[in-house]
Amino acid sequence: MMRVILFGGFILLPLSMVWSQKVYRTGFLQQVNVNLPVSATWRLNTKVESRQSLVEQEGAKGWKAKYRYDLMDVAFVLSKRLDPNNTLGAGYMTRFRNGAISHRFIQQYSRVTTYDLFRLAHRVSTDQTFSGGGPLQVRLRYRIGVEKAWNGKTVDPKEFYVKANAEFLGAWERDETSLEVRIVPTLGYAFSDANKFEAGIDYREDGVFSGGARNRLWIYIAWFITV
Amino acid sequence: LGGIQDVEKTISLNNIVAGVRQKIIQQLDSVFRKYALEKAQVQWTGSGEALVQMIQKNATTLPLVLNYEIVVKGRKENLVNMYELLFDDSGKAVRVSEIVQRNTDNLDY
Repeated sequence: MMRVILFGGFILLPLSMVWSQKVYRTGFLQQVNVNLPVSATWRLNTKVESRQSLVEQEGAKGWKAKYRYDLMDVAFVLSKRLDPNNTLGAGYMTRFRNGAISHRFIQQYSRVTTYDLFRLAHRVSTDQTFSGGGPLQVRLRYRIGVEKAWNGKTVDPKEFYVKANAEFLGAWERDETSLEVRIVPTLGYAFSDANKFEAGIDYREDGVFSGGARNRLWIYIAWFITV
Repeated sequence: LGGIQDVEKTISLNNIVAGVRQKIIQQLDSVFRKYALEKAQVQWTGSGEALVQMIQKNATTLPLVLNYEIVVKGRKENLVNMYELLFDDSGKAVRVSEIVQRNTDNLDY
């Protein structure tokens, strides 16, 4: 029962943050991650992600139901496992949005540590985004995540788990900088160690220090499969 | 319900008798080009009654098997992996096995 209460609070925290501010957009975010081991230490991650807005609010106007297919991302990241904890990766992403295409180069380092009762993950990444005629955008991202089995010490096949990520994204575009924060609490189910499904909330707020906060709340669904 | 099978207690390598510790370290040095100690445990195996006495009094007169379980991150043949090694009470290696790492894709990407 305590776990249910804690997880409820875990989900409701970002919701309360959104409701206490002016929400800009809310909808669905789906993600499919297919991972292909290339060798004992190399693997290729392919990710397809799409977002659809359902409800928007602009300025002082009220909520407005408005379906919009926001974007679709297709990304490839080739990673090298340095040791059981540390991984280096680099890749490329294409974003399809409103008929335009942008290109992003990605470099990332991640560290996953297994403790007796949970796993802790850190990820530091940089990316550079080029869009037709637009300015170059460079970002530095840091994400911390925790995964905990719903029951027992480790996530075994056919078991639920909870996972929470918090990510901080600093962006530079022309002479402007901005900071975005993302909080993603999810409930996961492991069909097997190589096949996991996650559902939860992806809350994003940008312009954190500039006063022009834009809040987005996505119902998040993700599938991770290793083939 | 199942009965108690063994008892494991996390220890420091320094808790192991000097001669046995030296023998364990020598074997780790011979198995791995380089390694880092992740965890050391003392493991007791015996009857339920003996194990309960060990938990409660840290001593028993009943038969008991003592082993040391050592987990290291070690480099072998240019690959770094996690290994679990089991040593008997004299420091002789009983088993060396690679720990299969759980999938981290949902934490990396």
